[in-house]
Amino acid sequence: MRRAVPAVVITMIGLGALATFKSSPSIATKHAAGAISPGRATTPATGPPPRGTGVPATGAGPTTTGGATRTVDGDAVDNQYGTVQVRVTLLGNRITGVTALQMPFDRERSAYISQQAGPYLQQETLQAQSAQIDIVSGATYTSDSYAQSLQSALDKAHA
Amino acid sequence: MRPLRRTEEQWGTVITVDVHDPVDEEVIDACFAWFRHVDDVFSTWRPDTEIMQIGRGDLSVGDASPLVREVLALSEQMRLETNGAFDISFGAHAPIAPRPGWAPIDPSGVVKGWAVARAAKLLRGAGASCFFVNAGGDVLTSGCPAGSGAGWRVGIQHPWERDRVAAVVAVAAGGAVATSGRYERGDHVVDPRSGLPAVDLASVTVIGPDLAVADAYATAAVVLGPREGMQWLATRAGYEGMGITDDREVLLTAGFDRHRLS
Repeated sequence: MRRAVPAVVITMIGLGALATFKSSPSIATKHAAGAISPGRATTPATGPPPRGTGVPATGAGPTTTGGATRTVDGDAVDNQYGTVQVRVTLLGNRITGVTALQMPFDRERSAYISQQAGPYLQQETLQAQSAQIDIVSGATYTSDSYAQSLQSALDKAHA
Repeated sequence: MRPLRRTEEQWGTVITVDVHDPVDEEVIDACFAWFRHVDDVFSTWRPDTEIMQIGRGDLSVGDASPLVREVLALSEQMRLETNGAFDISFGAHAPIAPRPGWAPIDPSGVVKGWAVARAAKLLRGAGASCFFVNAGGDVLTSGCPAGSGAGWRVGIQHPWERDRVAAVVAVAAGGAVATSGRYERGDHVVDPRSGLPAVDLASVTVIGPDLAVADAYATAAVVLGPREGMQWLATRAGYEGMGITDDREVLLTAGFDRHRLS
C-alpha cells in the first residue's frame, strides 16, 4: 500500500538549485498538432489513463518517408500480477511508439497515481511516446523481469 | 552498417553491448568474458568470491587482488562524498538481512559501472568509437550513432508504467546514464545510516562522465530523499539528475534540461 506524501510538494517550492519541470509552449503545440495520440493527450488527471488496449499507435507515427514502419511484439511474460506484453513500433531502427498488449496492474495503485498526478510527469510520458529512443535506462532489472523491459523490446528489434 | 549487438544474462541482470563500428566480433567475446570474471570476483551470491572472503574476514584487503582494491577504494570515495548515504559495508552492521544476496561488504552499486567502463576500454582498444553498453539499465555510451548529431537518445524508464519512458535525454561525448529506483526490486534501497528503506523518491537518474559514480550518486540521492538528495546532486560538478517523487513530481538539477530532447 502506498502512502501519500503531501508535504513533499510544499517543500519543493523553496529549492533554489532545482527546477520543477513545466512543459514548454512548444510541447503543448505539438500535442495540439496531433503528434501524439489524442486519447492520451486529453487524459484527465481524475481518472486512470486508457491502457492495455493493444491498439498500435497509428496516429503517433512520424510522417517522414524513407524507412519502413514495423511493429515488434515482446514476449508475453507472466509475473505475480499477471501477464505483461508490449508492442514496439519502429521506423527503421528507431522506436516511434510503445503500446501495452497485455499489462496487468495493481488497480488501486494506478487509480491512486492518476488521482494524485500533477501535470508534470503526465505530460512527460505523453511527450516521450512520440520520441525516438536508442537505449533505455532504468533501475536494475532482474534477468527474469528483463523480458518485460523496454530495453528487451529494443534488443529484439535490433537482433 | 548493421550494428553488432549481443545480449547476455550476467550479474543477475542482462547486459547488452552494441557496437556501430566495423570491429572483430572477438572483442564482444572479450567483453562478456570480462563480465564473467567480474562476477567470479565480486558476486555476493557465491561464498567463494574474493568479496565474500573479505566480508567473512578470511581475506584481508591488503592481500586482495588489485581489482578488488580498486573497487573498494572507489566505494570508499563514494561513501565519503555522499556522507554515508552510499555505503558498501552497510551489511556488516545491518540488524537484519536487508535483501536477498545480502553480504557484509557489497560493492555491487559501483561494480557494474566500473566493470562496464573497463569493457568500454576493451572496445576502444579494438577500434570501436561508436557504441553503448547497457548493464541492467545502467548505460555507458561512446560517440554518436550514425545520422544523429545530438548523441544517443536514452529513454528514462517510467517508474510505474513499464511500457513508457518518463523522459528522453541525449547523451554525447561518452556520457553515462544511471538510474536507481525502488520500483524494480521492491523497496530495496536501504538508507545505510538508519537501516530503513528509502522513501519519497521513486527513482533518480544521473547523467555524467563516469557510470560508476553516476550510479552511486543516483543511489545516494534516493536515500537522501527529494529535498536533500536532489539539492546535494545539484552540487556535483559534471553530473545532472532527474528525480521522480512518489507523487509524480519531476525534479531536475539546473543543467539537466541541456540533455533533454524537444
